[in-house]
Amino acid sequence: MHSGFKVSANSATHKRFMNPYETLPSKAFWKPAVAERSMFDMEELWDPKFHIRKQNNVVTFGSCFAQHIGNALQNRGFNWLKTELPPYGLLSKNAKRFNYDVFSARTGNIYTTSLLKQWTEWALDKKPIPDECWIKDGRFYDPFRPRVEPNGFASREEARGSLLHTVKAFRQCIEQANFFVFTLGLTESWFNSTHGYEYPICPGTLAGEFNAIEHKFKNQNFNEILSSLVDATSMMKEINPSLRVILTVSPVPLTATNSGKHVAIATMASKSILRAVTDQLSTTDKNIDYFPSYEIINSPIFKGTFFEPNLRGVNPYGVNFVMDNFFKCLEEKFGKYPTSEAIPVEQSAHENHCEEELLEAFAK
Amino acid sequence: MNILIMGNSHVGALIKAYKDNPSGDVQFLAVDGNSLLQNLEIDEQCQLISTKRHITEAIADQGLENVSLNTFDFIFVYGCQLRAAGSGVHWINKVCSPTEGFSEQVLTQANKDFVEDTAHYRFIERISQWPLSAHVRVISMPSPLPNELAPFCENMNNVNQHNADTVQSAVESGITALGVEYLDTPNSLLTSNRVTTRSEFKASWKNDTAHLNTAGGHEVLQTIIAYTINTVWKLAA
Repeated sequence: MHSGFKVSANSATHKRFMNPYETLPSKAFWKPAVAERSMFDMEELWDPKFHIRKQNNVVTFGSCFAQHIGNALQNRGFNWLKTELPPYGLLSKNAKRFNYDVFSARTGNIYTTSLLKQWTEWALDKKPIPDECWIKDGRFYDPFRPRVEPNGFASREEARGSLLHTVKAFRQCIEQANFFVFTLGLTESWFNSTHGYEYPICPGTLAGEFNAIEHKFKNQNFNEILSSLVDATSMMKEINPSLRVILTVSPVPLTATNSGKHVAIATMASKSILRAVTDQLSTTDKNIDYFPSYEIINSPIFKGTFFEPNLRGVNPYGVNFVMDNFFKCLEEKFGKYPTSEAIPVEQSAHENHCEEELLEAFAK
Repeated sequence: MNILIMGNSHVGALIKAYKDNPSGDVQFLAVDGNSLLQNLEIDEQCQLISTKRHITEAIADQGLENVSLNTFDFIFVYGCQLRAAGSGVHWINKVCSPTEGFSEQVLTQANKDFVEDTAHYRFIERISQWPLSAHVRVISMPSPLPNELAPFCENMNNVNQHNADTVQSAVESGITALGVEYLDTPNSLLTSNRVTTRSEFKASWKNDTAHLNTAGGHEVLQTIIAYTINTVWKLAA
């Protein structure tokens, strides 16, 4: 499509069309947008599709990095909807330890789009909720949320009751949310080949016993990830047609890979696939947007500044920078929000609640 | 036996009762609200000090200036919202149950956290670290309910027994874990649910349903005196 025309200097009657690059904004060019700027002065990194108002219900789920989004929303006076609250009296530090106030419901990390689909199917009664329970040292662990309860549950019934409660809370999130923020984390996944359901972590690592016949590894490809995400969001819209989705990709590298590749190569492959899926969906579905937290942390523009010394964990400056950009871009497009002092993130990503990090214990 | 009773406005009923019928060698130190417990310290001679003027004045008013805490045999910390409330709701009515999807572990932690977040607990935690002589016994004692937040939680008669027992157990185990003694509210003051003050012991002035009247103060004081006598007898035996 031609973007316009202008009058030639040597002839008032000769008109020529401008090429598309002549009318592009400066953000489209590396030199003015990046090379001639401080990395802290980057602008227009995100062009948000939706105006998130402070009174809107926003729910957050996904991989480890998603934990920062909910807290950042709440600290800035947005309505971070939580449908599963801690018991009265529980102090904030212990609420986090028990995985309350980490996501909008106590799902633990939902690393893959297939896990998101699985949670959605349970919440909408499309699939039965499995009755599997892991036992370790006399305590009972929920295979689908193995770290939500420090030291496990007191009984199988207690673990089951808690899972059912969370599934109900997850459904309430879908029903009541205006915006569903989901952070994609992994392509590598573990399934129960007999029953077909997925675990968020390999059985036998945190609890349970690994069974090579029953527990199968799957490194999901683009189509599988895209398909699960489309299925999950479509099911959500069955009970909440006006729901809008904001996707992000976790910038946190893999703790370990079972792909046979070097972990750095596997990380790049996984993140590239996840990023491609989010791009595909956000460019084709008007109700789905993508926020570039992955690029803000990982782009060479930022020179690895936002990583902890282990080059995996994201430091608090990185988290704040990402979230500052989230709100800055919203304000650039939709105008200023009523003033409220932002409370900066102080904890490092190491204090997050990531089952996946436990895999490090198996490194030789 | 030298007894010191410290606390907040709830100590008032005990002071009135003591004035009506002095028995034993009892001294009092009380300031409204939680400021006494939050701002009281001791110096190297174990004398009470504070950076807050109204507290140093209270110390002086009670003749406790330049008095070492080691001169007391019993120090009672009374009241100060040990079984209190927050945000206009009473803890006892807010105790959660497993039917709400909570695990036993998280409920235990929540109740423990509630106790540990009270001014009373924090003060007991501090006092238990003070270098007092071994003969000085520190005793924690909650005031009976309803407390100072009574206007928000008048209907304590419907309190569920499980919740009352849960709170009682959390308070007692939390306090005794600090290595101090715990003395519960006298049963004579309470209704059958064991948490609400019997109406005849409630203060009746200015619609105050939170504090005890003098008769109630007398009951508490007698319980304190009896406890100290029993302790001395036990030590002697």
